[in-house]
Amino acid sequence: MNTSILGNRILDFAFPIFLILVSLGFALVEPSFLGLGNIFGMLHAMAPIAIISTGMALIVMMGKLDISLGSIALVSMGVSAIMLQSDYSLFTAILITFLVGAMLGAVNGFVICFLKVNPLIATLGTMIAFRGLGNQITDAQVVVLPDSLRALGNFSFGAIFFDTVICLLLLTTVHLLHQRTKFGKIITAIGNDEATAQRVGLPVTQTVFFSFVIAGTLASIGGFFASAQVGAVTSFLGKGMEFTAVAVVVVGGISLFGGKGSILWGVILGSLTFEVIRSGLNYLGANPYFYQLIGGVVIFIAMYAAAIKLGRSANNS
Amino acid sequence: MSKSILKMHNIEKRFGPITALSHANFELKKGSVVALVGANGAGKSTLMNVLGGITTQDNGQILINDEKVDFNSPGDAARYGIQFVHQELSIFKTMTVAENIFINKFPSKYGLISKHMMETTATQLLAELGSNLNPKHSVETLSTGDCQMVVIARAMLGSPKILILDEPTSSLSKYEKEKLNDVIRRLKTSGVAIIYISHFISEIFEVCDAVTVMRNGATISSQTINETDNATIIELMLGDVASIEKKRKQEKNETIFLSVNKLQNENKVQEATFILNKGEILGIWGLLGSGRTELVRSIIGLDGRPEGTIRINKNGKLSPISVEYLSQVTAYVSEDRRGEGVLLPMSVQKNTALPNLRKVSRSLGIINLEKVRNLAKRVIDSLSVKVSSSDQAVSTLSGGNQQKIVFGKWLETEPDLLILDEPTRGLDISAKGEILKLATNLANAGVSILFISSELEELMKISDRYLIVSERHVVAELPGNSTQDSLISALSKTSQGSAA
Amino acid sequence: MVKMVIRTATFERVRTNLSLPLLITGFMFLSALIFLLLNSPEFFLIKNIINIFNQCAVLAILSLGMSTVMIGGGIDLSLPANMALSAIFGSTIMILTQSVTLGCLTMVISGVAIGSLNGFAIARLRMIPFVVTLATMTICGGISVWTTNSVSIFNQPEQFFDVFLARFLGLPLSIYVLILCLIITQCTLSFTRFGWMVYAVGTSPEVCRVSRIPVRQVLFSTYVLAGFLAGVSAIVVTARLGSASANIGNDSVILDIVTACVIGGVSIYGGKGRPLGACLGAVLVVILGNILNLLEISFFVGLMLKGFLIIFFVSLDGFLVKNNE
Repeated sequence: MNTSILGNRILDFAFPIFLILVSLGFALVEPSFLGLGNIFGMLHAMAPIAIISTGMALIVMMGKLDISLGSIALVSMGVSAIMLQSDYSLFTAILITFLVGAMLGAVNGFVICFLKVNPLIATLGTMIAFRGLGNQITDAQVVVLPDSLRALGNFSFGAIFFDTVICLLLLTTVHLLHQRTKFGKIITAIGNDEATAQRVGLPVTQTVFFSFVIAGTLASIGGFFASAQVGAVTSFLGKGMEFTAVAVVVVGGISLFGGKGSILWGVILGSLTFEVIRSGLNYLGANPYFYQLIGGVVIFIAMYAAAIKLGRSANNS
Repeated sequence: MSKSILKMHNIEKRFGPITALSHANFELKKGSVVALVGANGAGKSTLMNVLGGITTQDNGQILINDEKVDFNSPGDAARYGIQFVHQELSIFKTMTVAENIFINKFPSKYGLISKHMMETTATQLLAELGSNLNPKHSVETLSTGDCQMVVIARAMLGSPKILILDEPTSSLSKYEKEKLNDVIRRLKTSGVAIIYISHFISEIFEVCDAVTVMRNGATISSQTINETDNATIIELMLGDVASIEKKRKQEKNETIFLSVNKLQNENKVQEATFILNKGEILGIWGLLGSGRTELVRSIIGLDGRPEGTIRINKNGKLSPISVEYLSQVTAYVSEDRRGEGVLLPMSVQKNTALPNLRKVSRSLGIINLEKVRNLAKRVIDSLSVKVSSSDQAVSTLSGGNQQKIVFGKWLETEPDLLILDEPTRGLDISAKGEILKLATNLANAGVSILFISSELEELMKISDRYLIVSERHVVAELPGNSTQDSLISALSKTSQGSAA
Repeated sequence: MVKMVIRTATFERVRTNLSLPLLITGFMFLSALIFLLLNSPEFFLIKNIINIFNQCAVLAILSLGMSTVMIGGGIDLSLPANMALSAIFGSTIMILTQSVTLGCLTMVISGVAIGSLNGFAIARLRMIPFVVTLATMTICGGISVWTTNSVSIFNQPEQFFDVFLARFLGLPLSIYVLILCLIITQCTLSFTRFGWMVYAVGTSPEVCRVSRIPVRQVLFSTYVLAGFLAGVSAIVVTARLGSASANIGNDSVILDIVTACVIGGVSIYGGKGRPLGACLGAVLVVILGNILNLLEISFFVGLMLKGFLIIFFVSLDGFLVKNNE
């Protein structure tokens, strides 16, 4: 009994330890890696994926998945880009971007809650459909964004970037939403056991629906910052981001089965881990696609660890 | 004379062609604890579902404090002070005790949950129940008894006047049962009336003031606890069984086929020891929840790996074997027909072929469709299954015919051991008779049978010997010529104060 | 509500052979053919028909594998990535050893190996099929891109192309390979013990457990079979494209596979559908693609259409299942 508790503890700390080791590893090769400038730079670069992962974390907390988030980012920014090119004000365009994100999230919610399609298949379908829509809107061309937007995306108060602050703000808000509101508790309950939640009379359908709307909105915000950083909307926007978001969430200790984990610390840990890997690899001049490979391996390892933990607990009960 | 807080008069309820309740009555006096007992299908659950607002009655009245009420939803019932604690505890494992209690009624200020108030109130509620659980603790590591406290505390939030406890002790240890009884006494003192549904007849004598017995959808008797005893209650539950004609010739020659010694499967089966002779029908009797199904599932390894010894007769000698080995020569007709018996959307042919795939295939694993058809036809003919073609989907067959398919497919595997778990449940009289006849024929042909049934009548018709199971223990083995009385007393005697 | 019940009851008898989703697909198929007949009769030239089948050979073979996994109740998102990586491994070996046989063997073995990895994780470790195969897909994709540096491998030995681009009786070898795979897969599922077990496991693993069916082994085997077919399709696609690259496993392939299976009557929930249906679904997907081209409708609108089709068919499937129980 003692060894398995110890084993579980080790597994819990595995990823934070991994992060520390990898960071130190990169720092050995390139000392400035752990310098303040680089750290703030990493926080800046990881803001978009962290925001999207926040939405993903909310969905995963219910024991569900949404793999259309990257495509939602694309459509939202596609609409935004077109509007900006047609001389709409920056403010209106940004507002519409987030609105589109919410609407697409609502489409997901509709298919899942009212057509009762399994979330995996539903968001597979919408991922494809939305990407098609997004590319159709932008004609798969690179749409350059106005300078004001690029400035906003890269704006910093001293060393701290604007998007890092927004990211932290959103993350904290969603975290509080999860931990301290009735809505958040219902989400945890659904992740525990949706059938029991229904039986007890909780408003499951509404909660699931709104969670997808929130995730969609966050995806559009993440997409906004991602495009703003580069100053353009390309058809690659959001591609693969949903998979990275799943990996971030898993590494951050949020169980795919739902009901467990901390959104704030989980997303921070997960995003940091992937950003460290990405930026470290960048420094080393390694092939950028190596990063994709790492993502897959990490998910695999994390799931294996979760399976072991689950197997252990099954043996003990 | 305390007033009646609840009166249910002549409740009727049908589900399609099945009458669940016909003349159901129930009365509950303020501040009293009334036990509601009855065999499976007697109507207890339906009656309580009506009271809890989960279903609506077709006819009859419900009176609360002598005022007529109508329930259309659990919410309605709750408004009149009725709270239902179900057998399956609605618990959220990763959440804390306080969160579980307040899951429907989180106290909040400006949208944020008032954690402190929640935890303080939780501690208070739990204290009133005599529990000192820490509201901040996660429910994950709590025992069933403690989880039950949490659910009861949740029910108490609604300040109920009537509390329904459905099979509250089925997963509790002896110690936890006593704690629950304390809670019930406390609640009673604070003026809550309790309806206590249970299969453990001996336990109701410890906390209940009165007992209402139901049978076949009607209320048979309502007495105070002093006016009755164990044996009487069980007799009332089962009804009068006229002298049972034995359908089986008693075999004198007894060769042991199966010997089970001290079988232990966590808390599902406790030290079970029994013998089954070749060609014998061993009737396993006990009340619901006593562990009969768990026992038979354990010996063929369907619920994990049990400890203990299992030996079967191999070439005249009793040799120890594994549960996997036993499962290969055993046919298991599960009590869950839809979930474990038939593949509903698939055809009769495919269903009957499933455990017999080796039999109907040629070399290289290629299926011989003609053999499949013939096998299906054999099953249909020998069991008189009403179906127009063996291509039909099993979901279109009646319950009785579906059961015959289950039987038939297993018989084709030519098992040495046949386990029947409630094989006639939900079947009409003629189908029941056919199944019993079939079992008898099989036993005559040398198949050893373990026969679980809640209906004493059919058990007595064909069993060669009896195994009495109570509260996860095998408590007695009785000979074939036992009378109904001796069977009932064996069960009720051992129900009282058995070692947990 | 009553009308729907009556309608599904009438379909009950016809259910074993047809079903509402298949009828809808049949309708789409006919409409497509009629449209082509009216607007572009040259479509029906033998040369063009052969070309169509050639185009969809790879998709069809992959769909055969996916349908097997789906019938067993699972899903395998890693098939295209598997194909790409296997093609890369095989081509590398082929170039190194200048042996076509060795190269092709490598492709198939690689496919089986990746399939086994999936099968092990899902059957033995009980991980969620969707997420595991998603991870495998990412890993295979990553390895593919990394080892080739996104550059195609195109100097396979000439004999390779000679053999596989040859035509027997006017039909390219790839079509024969497809037909062979189709026959093997369909016959295995319809007429062998293993096949019947796959359908049973996809319908209800609990009933199978009680009936002594080795559920885990059956599930494992479905993923291995799908991997094998991915390896075979690696051979076909490399021959057709003249090169092996990471891009042959791009995102739109998995989308087409799922669409093909779903409109071909294979149920996501398991236990229903046929490999033949998935194969025909692949043909329909390619035909629809051609029609969209003719109508000069953009590829992206095509994506939206496919996404919509998937959602439509799956929700219809779920709705009918609920009604019949």
